[in-house]
Amino acid sequence: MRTEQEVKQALDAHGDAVRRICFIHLKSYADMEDVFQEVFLKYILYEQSFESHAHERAWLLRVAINQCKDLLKSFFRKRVFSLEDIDLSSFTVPEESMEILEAVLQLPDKYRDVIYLHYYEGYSAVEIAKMVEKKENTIYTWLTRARAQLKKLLGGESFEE
Amino acid sequence: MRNRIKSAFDTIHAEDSLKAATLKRLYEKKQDSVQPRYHQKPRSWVVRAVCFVLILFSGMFSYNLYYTETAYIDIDINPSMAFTINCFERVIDVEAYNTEAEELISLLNLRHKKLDEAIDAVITASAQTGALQREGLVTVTVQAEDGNDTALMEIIETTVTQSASHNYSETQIDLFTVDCETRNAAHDHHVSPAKYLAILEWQAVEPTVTIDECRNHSIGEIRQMTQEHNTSHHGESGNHHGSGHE
Repeated sequence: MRTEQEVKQALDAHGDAVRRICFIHLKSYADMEDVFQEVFLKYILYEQSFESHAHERAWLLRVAINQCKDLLKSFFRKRVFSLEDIDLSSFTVPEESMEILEAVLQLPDKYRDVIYLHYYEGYSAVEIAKMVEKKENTIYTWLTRARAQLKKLLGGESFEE
Repeated sequence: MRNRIKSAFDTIHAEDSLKAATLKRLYEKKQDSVQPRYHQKPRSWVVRAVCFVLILFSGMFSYNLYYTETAYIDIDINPSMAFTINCFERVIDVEAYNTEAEELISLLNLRHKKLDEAIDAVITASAQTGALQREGLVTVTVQAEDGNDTALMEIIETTVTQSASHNYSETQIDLFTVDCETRNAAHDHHVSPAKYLAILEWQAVEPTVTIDECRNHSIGEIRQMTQEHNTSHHGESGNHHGSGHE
């Protein structure tokens, strides 16, 4: 079992990333809080050591994605929602960022993950494929389709790298 | 575009309150998991064991209470049968004295019925087979273990009267209590107490009559034969005296 110090360090280093995964999947704050805490509970109980800081982050992101998926398996949970459904009082979000986040939330679950992991975390399609246990080609397809949908939602703006 | 997405997601971060709540929950979980198990286990086992014993005893107590015999009701219409009653006035056992009763018991599900429902079922079935109209008499004896037979007799009288009336039968009810010895003696001969007492009355005027000879007669028939024997005997003795005087 990991020490309290290790957990504090992981929370500081990767808490925001885990929170963002929860943000793109979960509408309710209570659900988000449950998943967030569950991810770090798994972390504290994880016996094996991580090769690097990046390895640790990738592990936490994968656990967070899986926890969100498990929670969303419930028939009664609404999988698609908008920014209006989320309490944003803790954040200062400029107008332009609101527009981008709103567009991301309109995408299907799997596309939200690849957009965040690729554009924000900077993972390649190969790395994402390992993380979400899908084929590389599938990730390329998802990225292409997600980009196209975002372009459409944001009024035809380009998404060149 | 990458920059726009980056700056949009940069606005989302783990709130301090969320981090604090997470640390608190993790600390609590850790405390729970380091608690020696023997502090919790015995307590939970004791509670479970106590619950189990309580459930077991209450089950046994209820079972014993339900199957404790408090009264015996013998009904004679011909069919002739005996009900064993518990303190809830439910039939816990039924015994047939003759083949007519055996047939009726196999048709009616009398066990565990309330006494009034069981009596009503027997009266209705007897009315349907014609036995009630043929005899026109329902004889019921009660033997209560605690001597408290008044309530039972009220139930029986009301039920028989109402049930016979529903079945358009003009029925006379003969209801009385018997003691334990009479009932045991009747049971030894496998007849109802009421029939046993009727046979004894007949044997008093005609000592050669045996119980086996009377077994298949209804109480009405036995009483009628006793009456006829009395009448003819008085008539004969009257004639004899008359002739003697002559």
